[in-house]
Amino acid sequence: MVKERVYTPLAGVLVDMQSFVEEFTATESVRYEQFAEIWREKKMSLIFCGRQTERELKEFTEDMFSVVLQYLGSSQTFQVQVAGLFLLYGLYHTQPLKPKAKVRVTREQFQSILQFHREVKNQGHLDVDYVFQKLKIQRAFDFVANAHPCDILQATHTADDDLNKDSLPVEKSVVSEILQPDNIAQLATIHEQYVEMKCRLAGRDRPDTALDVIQPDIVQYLTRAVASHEEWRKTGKRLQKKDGGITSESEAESDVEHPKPSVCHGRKRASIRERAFSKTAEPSRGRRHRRATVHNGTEQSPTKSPPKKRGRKSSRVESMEEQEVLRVPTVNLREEMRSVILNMPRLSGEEKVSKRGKKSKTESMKNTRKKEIKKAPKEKGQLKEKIAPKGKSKVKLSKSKQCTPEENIPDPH
Amino acid sequence: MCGPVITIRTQRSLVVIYLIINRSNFDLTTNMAAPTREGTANDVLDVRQFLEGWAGLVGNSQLQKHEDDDQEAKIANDMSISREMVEELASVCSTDTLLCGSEPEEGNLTAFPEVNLLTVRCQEESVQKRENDNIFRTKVSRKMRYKYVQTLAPPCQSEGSIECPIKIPETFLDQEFQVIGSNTLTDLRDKYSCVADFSVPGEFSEDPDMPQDNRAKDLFKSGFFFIEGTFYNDMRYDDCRDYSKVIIDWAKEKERGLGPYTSAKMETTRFVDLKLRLGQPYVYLHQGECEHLVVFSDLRLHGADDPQDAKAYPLLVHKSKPRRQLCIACQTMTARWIVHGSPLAPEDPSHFCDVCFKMLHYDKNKKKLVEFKAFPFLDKTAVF
Repeated sequence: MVKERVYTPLAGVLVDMQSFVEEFTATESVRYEQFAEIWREKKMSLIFCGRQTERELKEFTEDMFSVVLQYLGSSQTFQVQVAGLFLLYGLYHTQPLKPKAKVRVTREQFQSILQFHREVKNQGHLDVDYVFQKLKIQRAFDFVANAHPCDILQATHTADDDLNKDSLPVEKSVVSEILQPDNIAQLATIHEQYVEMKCRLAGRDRPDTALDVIQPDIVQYLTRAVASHEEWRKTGKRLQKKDGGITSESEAESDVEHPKPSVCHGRKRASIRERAFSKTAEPSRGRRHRRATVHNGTEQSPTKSPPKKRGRKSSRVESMEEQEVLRVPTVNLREEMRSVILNMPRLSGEEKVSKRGKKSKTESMKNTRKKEIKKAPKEKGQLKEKIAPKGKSKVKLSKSKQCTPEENIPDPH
Repeated sequence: MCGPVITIRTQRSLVVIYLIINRSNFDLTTNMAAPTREGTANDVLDVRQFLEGWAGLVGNSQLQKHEDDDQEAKIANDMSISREMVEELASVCSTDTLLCGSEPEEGNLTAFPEVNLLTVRCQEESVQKRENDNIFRTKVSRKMRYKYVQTLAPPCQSEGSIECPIKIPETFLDQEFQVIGSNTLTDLRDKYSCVADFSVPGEFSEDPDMPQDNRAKDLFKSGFFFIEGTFYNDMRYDDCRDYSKVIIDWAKEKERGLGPYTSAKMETTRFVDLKLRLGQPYVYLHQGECEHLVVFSDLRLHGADDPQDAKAYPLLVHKSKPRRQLCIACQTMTARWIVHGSPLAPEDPSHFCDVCFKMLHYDKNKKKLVEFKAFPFLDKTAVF
């Protein structure tokens, strides 16, 4: 379980503000009394409660102001802007901090606020105008270059961010990020309007067939495609195409047709283990105290291996484990490669291969093996003794080293 | 901050430059910074442009303090309505309408009331989590933007007008200042106190009672700020050296992909003339090799709620309290001496207070007992 240790002072603010603005716009009025009623009913002045220290409160208040300032942007409707202004007024006055935290506005934001104010004056809304004048007179605004003050510590990456990651990060899919519920809703409304327009042009209930240039159910098609893609990412199999979208039957069907991935994995792993543990490895003289013994399919080999090798090996095996997460289903390929490597006779001469060639694996294994040797050589003669019989021991040791990370994986069977 | 440390030895001084090279190659040649690991570096801001950009948008009423008692007349004037209307509006939109009646009392803000706001519920969860998890609590404390909360400066008597009303808080990572646009860089340099400036050079083991009156500040007066590719050297005195010349020449020499850097004078450069990035660490170097990082954290218009006296700036807003270096012997007094190579001392080098140092290393005739070197040590907390 990944422990989320993220500091989010603004958790929940957007939801509260959004619901407030929605309620206010539902009243279809821009009067201050309406706003004050909703404010009192929702007890918004208590939103500041619970902050433990003044510095926390200050940061929270300023961030909240910047969230509310978004409602005052020029792309919002007039009523939303009025709601935003009233919210600013309410929050600025009910904040418990002394001296009061100011509303930080950049030049662009202030220009759009002034434009809104001009419109307010034109429409003659006296209470809105008054609220704005009051904020100005009380010097609630702070005119800044950047929305938030920039501290150097935010620009550097701290080491503990890495330490807190208990597991590998789940790879995010760009597809699901693009097609968010908001976007899909917008797309659906636009599509409806489009179809409606076509119907109106045709003068009938159905649009003219000459204008059929896109799929009629484009939204459902897109959502289905995305969902199917997500499902494939997670489970490694595609969903069956059904008209009604994704159904549970399709999943069950596909389950019946192919065995579960975990069962597949288990079998494969068992076969590898069998092959690997059939012979024991000759440990180096430095590890004499830890003899390799074969019992019940597990092997006690030196657990101390250079972290580089361990990382590489374990990542390889873990990548097999986490097939569900990774996108590329290359299980079979890897299996074949491994069996080839294990059975391959070691050549005496070194051949230069590209980094991604098969032999690089054995080379890297050899290098790390050499490092291990160099760690505990008692006499020079021993060194030669170790390096000389390259052929056999190499292969054997590679097998044994491969076994180590596998050991660490809990056996599901 | 990762990156190679490049040491340049010259005949006279040892200059060390840490080039902060993030993974994605911070390009020092142009003013564009490639995205860093955490996010994008901010754009270059021209301070003067920032100031002039606000002309016309912000009236003096918002920047200067006026008599507060006739707000309503002012509002009536701005809104072109009668005063009675304003009073009516004031009663309609008064702040009392915002109170729901169940506000907590003054001191009890940390409690969680029963209210249907997701914000409060989330905060409650977060606080609970902090109580259960120490690591989370420290992480939260470190991630907060403000390390302290400013208290209001006392109102100043004299009313000096502020020439260029901009405020730039900048952090030296241990001291935070607010400067206004008309301050020069030398003003800031003079206000910043560093232990190295007050330290006394020289070896004192033969005669520890020798008067320590020649401060490094008076002996070595040079220094520079390195901001956006330009070295601002302090050349006020005759014996000030241009530290930056060596670096500029070195950057020109090979194909390092650095520079070209320029140099300017610290005493004639005002903050309003600068072009800077917010959050970007810059360097202040003095005493030959004492480096400090300078970060401009904010840029805003000077308002009526800030101290109005121009002579108060640069204003020291915050100073961190480091732990003082204790004497290794008594662990009570602050260290005044640093001793190298003394066989009597438990460590090499060791810190001693005056009393312990003299008692250990000298006999009653004030003669040195063993071979060692002693240098006067000034603790950070001793510098104001």
